[in-house]
Amino acid sequence: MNEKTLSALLEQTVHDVTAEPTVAAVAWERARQQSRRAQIATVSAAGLAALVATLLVAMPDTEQRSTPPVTSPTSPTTQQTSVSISPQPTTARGYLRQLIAVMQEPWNNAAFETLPLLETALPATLSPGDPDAPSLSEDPVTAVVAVATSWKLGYTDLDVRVLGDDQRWRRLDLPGVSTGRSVLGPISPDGTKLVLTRPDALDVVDLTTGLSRRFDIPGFSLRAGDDIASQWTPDGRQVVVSLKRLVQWNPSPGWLVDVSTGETGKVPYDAAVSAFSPDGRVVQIDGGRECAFCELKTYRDDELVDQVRLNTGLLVNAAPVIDEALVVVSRPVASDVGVLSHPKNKPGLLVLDPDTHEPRAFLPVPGPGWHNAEDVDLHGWLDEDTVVFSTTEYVDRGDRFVGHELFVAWNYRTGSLSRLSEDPYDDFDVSLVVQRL
Amino acid sequence: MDLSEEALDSFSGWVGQRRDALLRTAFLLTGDRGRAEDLLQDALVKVARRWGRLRDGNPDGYVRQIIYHSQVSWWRSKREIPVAEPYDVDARTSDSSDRGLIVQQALARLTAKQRAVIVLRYLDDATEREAARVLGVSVGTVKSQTAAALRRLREEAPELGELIGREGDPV
Repeated sequence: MNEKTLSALLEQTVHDVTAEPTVAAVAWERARQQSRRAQIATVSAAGLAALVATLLVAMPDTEQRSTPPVTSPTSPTTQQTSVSISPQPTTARGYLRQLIAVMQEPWNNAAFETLPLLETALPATLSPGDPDAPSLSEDPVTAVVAVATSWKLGYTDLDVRVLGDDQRWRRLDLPGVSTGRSVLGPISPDGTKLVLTRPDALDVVDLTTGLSRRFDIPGFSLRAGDDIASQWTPDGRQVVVSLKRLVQWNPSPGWLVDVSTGETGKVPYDAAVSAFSPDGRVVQIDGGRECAFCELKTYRDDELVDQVRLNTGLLVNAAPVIDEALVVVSRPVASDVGVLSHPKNKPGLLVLDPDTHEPRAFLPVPGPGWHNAEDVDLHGWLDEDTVVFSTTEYVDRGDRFVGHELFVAWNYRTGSLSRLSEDPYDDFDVSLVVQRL
Repeated sequence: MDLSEEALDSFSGWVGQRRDALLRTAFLLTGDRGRAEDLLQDALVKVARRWGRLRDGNPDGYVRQIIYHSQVSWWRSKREIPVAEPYDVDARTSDSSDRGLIVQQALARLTAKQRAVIVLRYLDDATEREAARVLGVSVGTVKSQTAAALRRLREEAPELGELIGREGDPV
């Protein structure tokens, strides 16, 4: 056997094998953490260093291997489009290392009271359920900063409260609108309009005047059990509505409604899991409870222009928002080992670079043992560095446990956390209009 | 562990120069990209923890020792070694990616130590003495393992022999 050609052949075989540029930084960080763990080993074996060591030694071999570029089959919603799926940036294990390298100290509900209060348009405590709250028609607002919907089940009238930028709650009267038949959507970025999805149309309610305008959407029909989602575009001029049939897993195409012109049209992405960018991009996150990985699909002018598969595992709780970064609620794919294996520690806020998809920051947000990633609510960007989220701790009130929702501002660059507000009552589901805070 | 910025800079500089070569070695040793990345990462962590002492010494030799020993240990610890399915290509007409698969399949038929000596000698250009030092065996063992590995490749991976023979033919 020719030894020189064996050398050449080996070199040819690995010619394209290159290491991640971050390998040194990740190794250094791991070494630093291991060193720190060694120093505190007599105190506790469950520190962050243990996480790193345990993860890398004991992680099950569940990663998706890197594959050469392939052409994706066209999706039902983009039948005319064929887009190359980018190779996975790294394996699941490699991605988890990146995640660990940018991971911050896990959020702790107990520390909420000790955080500095960030002055915003929110009161320190949210109490939307005041029975004597005035009607919005009697006490108009210039803009709304939060909306609260009652938890009552069954076909009852919706009890909706809005919080003005004067920190006072009003009752929003929506005659003829009952739970189960109509779905309340988000408030526009400027805090003046509210989306209400009816079985066959979309209503946009002007919160400053109380008047509503109806938009008929050809082909749109809401049935019992359908999962509906709507979202405003960043400029507040359009609403995207998507629905998922009870018996049909794949999302139906969404509909876009221009609330200034009344024009409607179909869009290929799902409003429930899409992030809208001010520059016109829309990133759809195809993840889910059963997904070991997810795909980020980028649309521009309703055309699929990029598709990348990430080994991050479950990415849920949509309404992610793009600014200079994409933030999602996530659960790492390899969360069944190490510190992240603890059920309390699974979900977290993950900030991704919208172009390279590399993780910039990861904040684990623990919850009670039965919690999962859906229980962290992401409300949006307060500024280009600060994300607003809420998490719930369950408090024993004697006769029942009630959810005590904590609203927090997280600067993902510095890791600093601030207290925004809290809702101690669990009677209403509160959403924030972060742009107005 | 020396946590100074200066130490980090010198470590990063060293890794920047070596990382691709080390990953290539690890890839040929393991035949698996993910496992190779793990192997490299674990080795670099160990180097980083000793960087204060290694930086002025021989970090190259140390990291290679770790990679080779870790792979051999890992291989020993596995009860079942997956055997790659024969790759159905004609070596004479195959392109570079096919040739790469043929090489990987051929290496998969070797024992961990045989594989290690082949990679050390023919990819890393290590002398018999250097290979012996890295693997912690005698020069005689390197010689015998190399001979056994080449014989096995010739007998059990004829497609590789054909490829090498074809490429080595005079024009």
